[in-house]
Amino acid sequence: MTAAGPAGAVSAPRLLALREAAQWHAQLCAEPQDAAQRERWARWRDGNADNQWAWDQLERLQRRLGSVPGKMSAAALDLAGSRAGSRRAMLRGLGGLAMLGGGLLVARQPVFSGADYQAAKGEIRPLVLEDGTRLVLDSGAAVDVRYDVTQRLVWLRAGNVLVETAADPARRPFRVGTVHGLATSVGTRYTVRLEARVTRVAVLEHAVLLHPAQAFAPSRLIQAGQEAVMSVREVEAVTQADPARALWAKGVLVVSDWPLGDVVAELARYRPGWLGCDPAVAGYRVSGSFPLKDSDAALAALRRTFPVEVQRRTRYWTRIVHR
Amino acid sequence: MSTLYSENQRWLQDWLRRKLGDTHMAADFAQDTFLRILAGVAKGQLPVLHEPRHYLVTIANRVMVDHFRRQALERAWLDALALAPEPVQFSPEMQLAAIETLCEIDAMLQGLGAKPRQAFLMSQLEGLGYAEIAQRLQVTVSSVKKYMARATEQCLLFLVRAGEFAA
Repeated sequence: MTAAGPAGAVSAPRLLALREAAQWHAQLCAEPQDAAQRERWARWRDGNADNQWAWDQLERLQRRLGSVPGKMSAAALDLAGSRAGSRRAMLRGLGGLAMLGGGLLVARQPVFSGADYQAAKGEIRPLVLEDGTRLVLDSGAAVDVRYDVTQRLVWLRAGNVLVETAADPARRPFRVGTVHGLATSVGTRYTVRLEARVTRVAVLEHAVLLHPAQAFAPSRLIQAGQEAVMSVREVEAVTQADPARALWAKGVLVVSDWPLGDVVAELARYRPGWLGCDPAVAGYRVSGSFPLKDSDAALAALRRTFPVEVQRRTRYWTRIVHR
Repeated sequence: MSTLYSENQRWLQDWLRRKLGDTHMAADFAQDTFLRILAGVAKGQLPVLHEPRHYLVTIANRVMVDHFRRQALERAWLDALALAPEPVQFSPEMQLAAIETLCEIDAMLQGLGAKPRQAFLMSQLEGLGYAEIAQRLQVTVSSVKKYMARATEQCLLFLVRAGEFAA
């Protein structure tokens, strides 16, 4: 490279020439093109050796940019940009990211063939949809994304999803649908969890309108801080939402005074194979936080706190019993 | 360098394991950290080590951020592929080359604001005109031009400085 001046630094005239080259480039990319302007640009470029060198660098940059499929690459960089934010933010959040990263390393097994997006067991998968809406798929979740002119619909086939809707210039409503009904929002943050008989919706910000699937079933507005249970027929119960429940999206399970059996059942959702709990110990009350990506560490923590033993038959069969 | 390695390899690996909660990843990252330092030494960048562990942690953090950033880009690329209106076919080699280049473009644009970054991508990769970019970003055309100049200058500086190290 000829770029290096003395002491390995770019000389000041060259720095200036690079700045001017960038300004010319920005000018020349603008439309409409103007012959007089191109002439001025050519005069600038041929004006001295540094300018010529700087323009060579610009052409190098353009060749580099031209070597990838444009639209796809723009989409990918855009997705990655809005997901990760700045490098500094990544460093700050590295603890959480490390856990997400670990999740991506898990061999992916399709849980639902044909779903638009899915997360394998043990994976917590963040997504950004075309309108900027963020989804985080919990372990085992599967969704289809169906946007049209009337609505933005995310169909939850299985599992649990955290939603942070983005404002839509076309003002289309955003909905998460399950077999039990629809949860409609207009700019909010909430989680939807599909269970065997019901769908649970916890609202973290603003409000969500629930429409049970059956015709003529009454709708109900759920406010921030509330959690609702919706069956096909009705919105059955509305209780105080536990804000800690949404922390799964960051890879952490935070519980306060939970039965051990429930904690183990929750950890089991993220762990390949079978994880269970002897009814004799299921009643211990547990408070604390556990890494969802590392259930071995979570189990070790339980073992330190309670008189329990972790029984392992194989890598895929684990049971918590009395010590 | 060998003293740095022998005295601190174990310590760095433990530090990473505590941070990541994963022994294998910690071993990989520790290895990559020393490789990166070694690569710097080969290019004549000799660190002055008053606090070698502090230095190691700094480099290890960079290695991890790059790793996760690359993973995010790989994932984003696959998502973009899946979201493409028409099915697209790429050979594994082409995919790898594209992801390499994406990482480089991403690094060039690092630290730019969201709008200059988007304006640059829309113009240079999507081939949109300034008027449309201005409309999409809800800014004036003259702002788009300023964003473009700023982003282009940053990319050029990155390219030139990367070239220096390669020399």
